[in-house]
Amino acid sequence: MRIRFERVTQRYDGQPLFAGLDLEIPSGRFFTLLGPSGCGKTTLLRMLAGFVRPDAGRIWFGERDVTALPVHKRGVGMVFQDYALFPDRSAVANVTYGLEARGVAAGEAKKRAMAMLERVGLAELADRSPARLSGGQRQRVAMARALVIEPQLLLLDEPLAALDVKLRVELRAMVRELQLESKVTTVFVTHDQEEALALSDLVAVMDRGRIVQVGAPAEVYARPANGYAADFVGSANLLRAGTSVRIVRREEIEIGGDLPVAEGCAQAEGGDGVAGVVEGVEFRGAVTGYRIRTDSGLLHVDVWSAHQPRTYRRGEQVLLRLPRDVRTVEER
Amino acid sequence: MNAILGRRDPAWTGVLLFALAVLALFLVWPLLTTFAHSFTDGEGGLGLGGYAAFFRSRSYRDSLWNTLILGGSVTATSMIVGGALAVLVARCTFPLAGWAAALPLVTLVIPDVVVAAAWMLILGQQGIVNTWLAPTGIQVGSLYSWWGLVFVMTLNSYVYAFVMILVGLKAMDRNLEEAASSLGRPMSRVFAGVTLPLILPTLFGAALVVFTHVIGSFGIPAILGARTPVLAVKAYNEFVSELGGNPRMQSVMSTLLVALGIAMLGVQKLVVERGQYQMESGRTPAAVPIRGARATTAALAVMVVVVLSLAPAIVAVVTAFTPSNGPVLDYGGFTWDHMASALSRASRPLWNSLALAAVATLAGVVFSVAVAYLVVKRRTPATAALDVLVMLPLTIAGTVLGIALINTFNTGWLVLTGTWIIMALAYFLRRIPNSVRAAVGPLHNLRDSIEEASVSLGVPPLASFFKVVMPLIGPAVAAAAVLMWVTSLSELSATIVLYYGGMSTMPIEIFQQVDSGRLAPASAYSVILMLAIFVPLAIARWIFRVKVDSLQ
Repeated sequence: MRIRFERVTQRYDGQPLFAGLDLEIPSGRFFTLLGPSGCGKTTLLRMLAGFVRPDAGRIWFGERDVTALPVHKRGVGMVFQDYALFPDRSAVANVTYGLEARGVAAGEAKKRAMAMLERVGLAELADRSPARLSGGQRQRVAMARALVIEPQLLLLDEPLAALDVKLRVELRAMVRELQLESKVTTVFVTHDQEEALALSDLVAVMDRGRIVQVGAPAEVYARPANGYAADFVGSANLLRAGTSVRIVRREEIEIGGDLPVAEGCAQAEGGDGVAGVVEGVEFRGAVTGYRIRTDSGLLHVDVWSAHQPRTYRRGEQVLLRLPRDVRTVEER
Repeated sequence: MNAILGRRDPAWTGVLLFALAVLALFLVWPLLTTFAHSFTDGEGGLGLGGYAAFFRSRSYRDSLWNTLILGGSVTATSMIVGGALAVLVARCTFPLAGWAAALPLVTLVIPDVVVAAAWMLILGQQGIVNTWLAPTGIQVGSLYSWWGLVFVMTLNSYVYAFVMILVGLKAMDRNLEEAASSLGRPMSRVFAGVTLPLILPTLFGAALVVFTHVIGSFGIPAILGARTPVLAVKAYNEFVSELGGNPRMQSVMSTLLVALGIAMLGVQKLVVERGQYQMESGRTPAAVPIRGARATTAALAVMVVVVLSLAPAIVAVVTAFTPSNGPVLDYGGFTWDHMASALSRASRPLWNSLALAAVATLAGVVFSVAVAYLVVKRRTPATAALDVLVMLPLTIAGTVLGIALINTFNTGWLVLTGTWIIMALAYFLRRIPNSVRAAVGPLHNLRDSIEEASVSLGVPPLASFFKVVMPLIGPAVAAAAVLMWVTSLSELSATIVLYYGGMSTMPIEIFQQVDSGRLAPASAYSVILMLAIFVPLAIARWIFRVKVDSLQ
């Protein structure tokens, strides 16, 4: 089902948040709203659920105007950041809840719920109460509960944010797998760019109530619409040039080493050679990150740990090689 | 956030409007009518004549002073007794410390009219103690005096201070005290410098609750305070006066009492809530074991308080089976007479009490849960107003509420005076503040997303409330209901104004018998009333324990 925001306007605490926002989410895709807190991504998600009604504008589910349709009639499945499981019901009773509301007979509901729990790998814990499940297990129950009603739209409100890193990576694979199987149109809200890039068919980068760019992850990464998008998706070095900025990804810079640098070629102009002093070193395993002070400002450089001849030390003089074809965009 | 659908949901908006309408009609209107009446000049115009007359008359003036003196002194003594007991129980372990846990229950089960009657039996002119001391020629001071009133009122009020201070002390994070000690402060300075400032808002709140309770109470001052009339009793006397009491003076006294109560609530809002510290409820401070003489003293103190609190019930039970000849009681003898006659005649008032309490509780619980939900989960200016309105009855003495209701609803398009509805209404209004508070706590702890999840799964908002929210706040609501029921059973101060022939209640019967000196029959009635309160309470506690166990 295709989703459309049409000229949506919304004020928040007296401040305009959205002014005539248009956005289209194609049917069956995994669509991510990416942005920092306060950018309005959660409000957009809650508009789709029906918890927030826009001050002006329309929301379309396919050919149907749902702007005034109450939450319980929208047929959306939602997974909350805190899972919002019913604490007084077992895992399976949580999953059957939505089916009961749809008048599915108890036996049939139980059968479908168990099948759904099977798919998320929790069948053997079906009778446990939420209090006796781990965070990851609760998240799986919440997914099962949202999917079992076969929603026409699945909404995910930072469902992985409360989990530790390892579990997060494991569960996001499951989330993507379930979405691909069910082909349900999915809107995912996150502030984690890695998660957005890893999961989505399409990413919408948001900045203070505006959609900065919509595109496939690789496209947004390779051709960010502006400096903000570049920095938020995959953190980049922004080299100021008047009102524009030049985007240099961290991994695109090479460190030439402690070669003697001629005074003249210490400028970034024309492309390649820039001299700098190492201000900080961060060993992150596969990648080593450097903060290097140059005449053009502080540059962040990521280097494959295995590929560098040696680790540079704080205070060391280094020569940087910048890529030749640098993309220049507006700052914001 | 004005555009949140859920908060503007039509079903809940209807509930909000209904709740506001009920409070406006049955609480605000009668109060305003009373206030307005106090500012009339007798010829239909406006004026301060009523207040001038009040302050000119020595007896009226005295009743105001008496009220303030009684309120102040009982608050002081209650804070000392309740506070000391709370510190002992919260911070020390010693034999018998557990007994203190029963005190709130004891106070709940013994209605204040029974307390007053029982202390007359113990310390009255012909009471047990004086009879016992008679051979020595010593006599204890008259109970119908300041000290008697303060003594009995303290026993009836300290438990509020005790419970509030105990909760406050237990909610304190011991890390704070340990942090202070680790910085090299001696324990006594830690208590004065860290613990006391943190607990100060609690102390202040407890003092205000006791003060409001005392200035509003009727039963004990009416029975023991013949020489020291207070406003609540004076207003009642004016109301029932055979010589046609002065209606304007009732209004003036009512207004003064309400003004005192509202001033207290205002002080609390201004001073206490502003000084409230956000305390992370961390580890409860450990109780220190004490031994030897100090433990004996502590155990003795707890025992004395428990015995004094329990004494009225014991005396009432004993007296109910003691032969009497007029006012003279023959302790040591045994008779079924009082119980037999009480059982045959008390069925009507007992039934009235039970029925009225049941109606008020049923209506009150539904209303309180709805209001608590609106106040916590649908925050708007309208629900904020509702929050203030619903706490208003805390500041209104029962007598005042009764007079206001009866004067407002005796003519006009809605006549309730002389019906059972007005009595149930008074019980309902008096108890909703506590019930709302009881429901607010668990609702605060309930995340909004749980309800949202239910609605998003296709269950409409109101149905979601019953399917998801109600089961989670159920235990707290049930406890509030039981509390509402038992306190309604012992309600006297509003009932005394509102009851009419055929609708007398148990506390009324007891009050009248005490008033006319028939203490043995009063005791028999008291025993029946205490049983009526205790049995459902015991059953409820027993059921809840089962529930609690099944949760674990």
